[in-house]
Amino acid sequence: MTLLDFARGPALYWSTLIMVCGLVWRLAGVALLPFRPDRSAAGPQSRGRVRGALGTIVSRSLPRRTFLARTFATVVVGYAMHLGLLIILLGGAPHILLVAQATGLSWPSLPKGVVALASAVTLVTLVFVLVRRCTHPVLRLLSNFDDFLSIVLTLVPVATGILLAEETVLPYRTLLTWHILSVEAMMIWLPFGKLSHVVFVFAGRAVSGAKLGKRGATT
Amino acid sequence: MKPRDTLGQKLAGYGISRRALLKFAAAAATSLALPPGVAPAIAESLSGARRQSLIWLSFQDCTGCLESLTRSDAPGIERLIFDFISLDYQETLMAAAGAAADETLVRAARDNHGKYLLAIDGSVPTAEGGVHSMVGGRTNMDMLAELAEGAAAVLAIGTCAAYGGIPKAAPNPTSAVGIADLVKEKPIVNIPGCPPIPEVLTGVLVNFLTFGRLPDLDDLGRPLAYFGTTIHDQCYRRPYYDQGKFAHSFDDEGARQGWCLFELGCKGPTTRNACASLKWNGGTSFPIQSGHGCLGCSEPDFWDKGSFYTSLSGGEGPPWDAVGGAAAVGLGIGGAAAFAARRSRAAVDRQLAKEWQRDHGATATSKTEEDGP
Amino acid sequence: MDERDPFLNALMGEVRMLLSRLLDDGGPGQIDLMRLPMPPERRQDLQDMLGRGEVEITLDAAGTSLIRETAYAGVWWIEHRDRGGRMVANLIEVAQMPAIVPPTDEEMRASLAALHARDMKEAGR
Ligand code: SF4
Repeated sequence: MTLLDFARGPALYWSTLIMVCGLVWRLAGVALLPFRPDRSAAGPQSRGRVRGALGTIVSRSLPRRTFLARTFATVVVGYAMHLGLLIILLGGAPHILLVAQATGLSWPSLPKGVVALASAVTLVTLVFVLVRRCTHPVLRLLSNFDDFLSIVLTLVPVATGILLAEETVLPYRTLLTWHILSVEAMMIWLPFGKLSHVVFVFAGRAVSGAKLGKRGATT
Repeated sequence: MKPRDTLGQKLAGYGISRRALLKFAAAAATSLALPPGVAPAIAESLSGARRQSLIWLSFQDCTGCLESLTRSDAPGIERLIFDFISLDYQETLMAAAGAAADETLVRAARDNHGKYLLAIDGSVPTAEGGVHSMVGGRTNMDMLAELAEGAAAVLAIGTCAAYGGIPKAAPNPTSAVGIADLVKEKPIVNIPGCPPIPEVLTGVLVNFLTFGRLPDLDDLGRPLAYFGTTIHDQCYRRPYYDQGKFAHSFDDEGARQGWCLFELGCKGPTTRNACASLKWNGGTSFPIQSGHGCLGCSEPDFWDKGSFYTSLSGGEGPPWDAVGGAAAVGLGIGGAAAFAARRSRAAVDRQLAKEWQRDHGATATSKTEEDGP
Repeated sequence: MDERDPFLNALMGEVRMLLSRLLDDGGPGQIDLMRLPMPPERRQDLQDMLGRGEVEITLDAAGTSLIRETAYAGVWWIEHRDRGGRMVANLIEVAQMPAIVPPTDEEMRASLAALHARDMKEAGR
């Protein structure tokens, strides 16, 4: 069995199972916790739970005007990276093909150039984020192994993916192998580290939004 | 030495001129990716060479390799090579049979001991002592061990001889292996393909006759001159791949336009062979040119790498049952964790209630007692 | 492809280098066109760039080969074909005369001997 066969066979199989199991585990573990009944009285400004939840999902995704000057770079970088990843994942022809062959669902792909541009932006922002985390004194104090691993595990698939799409530096087979393996490493880590914000980010915002919304606090 | 002994004289006797030989040498140099300047040297050493003895054994095979190598009907210039080779033993092609054939083999191996080339098509079964394939009462394993010992070099012809091929495909009932798994002491060249390209065999033979050794090999034992690049890198449909123009089915507009066959399962990007440049049937065409993706037949275990029609980026699809099972396990662990959290929360609550009771309840009780009488 | 195809310009540069080397007596040189990325259009462009000279030789040996002088003296275009008409080698040879054309001394001696034998036979008749 070559490494590529391993990557496409047992490694893919087990990383998928681990990711699914881990995600369900994390979600169920949180969802089945007892909800602490919110006995607080609705405040005068109350927007109700649902509106509060939805509102916070949106508002927390937008930059605060007060801090805009200071956080502008972070916001732009964050958006660029996440949008880039979205474009690569949903617009790249090989990725669509993967989904289509697994599920039968298919949609038109974006031109290769667009995806290449998005990948380049994503790669640059990820490198920027990593470097900043290593050099910024406060950020470095705040960071733990999880933070670095999560960034690196996102960065490597993007980097190998770009090389693969351009078919440079190393042979196609090697690049394909490492691209798949690196994605699988990310899939395995996804439920357990900070990458789990993939499923928790909006849920978390919704919960606190619902609480604050009922009380009528401005968030 | 008889006057006809060297090939130059022999060729002259056959009416093969120096120019024809030079031409052949030029073609061979091109095919071996040697600088064209060495063509005269190739011609020179070919015409000075003695006929090279070649012993060819067929093991667990389908004879397709031999068909491919002998059936090219255009008398291509490559066929000249057979004038430089003395094919001393080949069961399918030789007239002799039975004991006479065995005798030929013994004589050829003895007379050319240490000098003959040993060519093999087919894999070697090793289960049950190798009884799954026998010739004249002897197992392939036996014959291979004995004849490889006296060979100058071994040519593993076809994917079965090179890597085990189809007999080795799962579940491999005969425990078939390729030649290199059994022969360790001799130089081996793999010429994989199902079947292999005839010109590659010619090139390897020319290389051996000219330089007295096998050509440079890649990490899978294949001649670099032919297996140095992937099909994908030489494919004439490559521009379509780069532009993202793919045929989605064998009868759609893309297929008619001759677009890239990646989505239809083409294994060109991971397959090294010379099909796209040398082509087949005297340069007529090759699979992709005929509208079908590459099967990857020159790679080890190509038969077990999933469907020929699944694209390289796709898999066989997720194992839904296992995914469901994994989700259930996740639900179990998560549920258990939540349950444990509830339990400990409840325990804490009870404890708090108890303490509250003790602190406040006790005073309340004493109050009542005081109030009582 | 236009005149500015950098690949063809590099190839022409190599031809120039080989020719100047030949004049400095560095001996003849060849370029193997079959092992270069040469789609038919590019091959045609190259042929157009090189042009045609006055000499054209057909070689009949195990198939028909074409040996043609280009517009640049000393630069030859060579196509070797097998009996099936399939091209087996495509070269540019930079030489006074492609090596495959002139007969060798050995061959001429053999011819001389043959002519001599013929004369003897005629004389004896
Ligand atoms: S048809 Fe196959 S080898 Fe050719 S470009 Fe497409 S994927 Fe590559």
